[in-house]
Amino acid sequence: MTEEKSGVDPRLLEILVCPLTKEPLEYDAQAQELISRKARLAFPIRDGIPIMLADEARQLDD
Amino acid sequence: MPKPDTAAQFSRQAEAYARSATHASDADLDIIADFAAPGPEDHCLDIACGPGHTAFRVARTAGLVVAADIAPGMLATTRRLAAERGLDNVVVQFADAGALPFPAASFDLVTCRIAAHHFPDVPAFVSEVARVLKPAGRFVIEDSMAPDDPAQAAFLDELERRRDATHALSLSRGQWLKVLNDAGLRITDEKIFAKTHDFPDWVRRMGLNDGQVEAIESWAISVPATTRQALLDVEGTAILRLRDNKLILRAERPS
Repeated sequence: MTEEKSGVDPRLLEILVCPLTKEPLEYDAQAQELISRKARLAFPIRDGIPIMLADEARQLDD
Repeated sequence: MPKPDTAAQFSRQAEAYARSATHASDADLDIIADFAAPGPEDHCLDIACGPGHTAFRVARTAGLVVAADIAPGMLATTRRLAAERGLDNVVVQFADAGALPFPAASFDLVTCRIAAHHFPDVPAFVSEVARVLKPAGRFVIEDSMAPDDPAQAAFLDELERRRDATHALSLSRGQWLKVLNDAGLRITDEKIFAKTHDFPDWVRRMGLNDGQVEAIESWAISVPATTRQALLDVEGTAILRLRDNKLILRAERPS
């Protein structure tokens, strides 16, 4: 349980894509974010659950 | 496109929904399971999973079930209940029904039980379902069905909205067939069944207080009897029961 709460289920990481571009995502385990380069968004992972919503994502400026 | 108030409302109501007799009852889940026929190799997606009733039913025979919702409270409840039941083939995921974070052709089965009437854009949702389904993949949808009579449909929508501001719109059977057809899905089975709700339980599940319930009752009793009597059982100034119809459709993505 604790492991599941601190990290994303690997079965999800395999299939998740950006909800906007439908392109694959990069997993940043340190920052607990899923990054969509094309959409320039970083989706937060909270309590082990990626929040795949543009409104909740951090804008990437680089 | 998701409405944050919907997420907040359902996060608050997650435990009430998990306990609710209406939501856990098996009659419609049996039909959904029969239509869906999940197999051991099937990857399944349950959209707007709530506290997981449909996902858990599908998980009995499915390979993997992704239970998706926009209410973190519902996802937490679903994850806890799945763990308690030893269902390790259920994973929870935050997802907006109108912009699914999954690749094209990634699921054998998509289910959505009594939730689409909350969605702001049902055609966008169905088009996303058609996209993520594999060829020959199945979509089983259950929702409150709007009556064909426009006055009754308007009354029922208004009643739902007064009870729960996150209610958007219920579609009639004809509207559902059109939306599914427009998304390129082929309808293979359907079932309509009548549902009777204990009105006090139904209306209070959304956390309304006595004053709010009384306001809804006096409004509902004031509408023309021909409209009201088709849907409500009233005794004096109290509404005892609400009767509506649920529509369950099974559709396939052409292979």
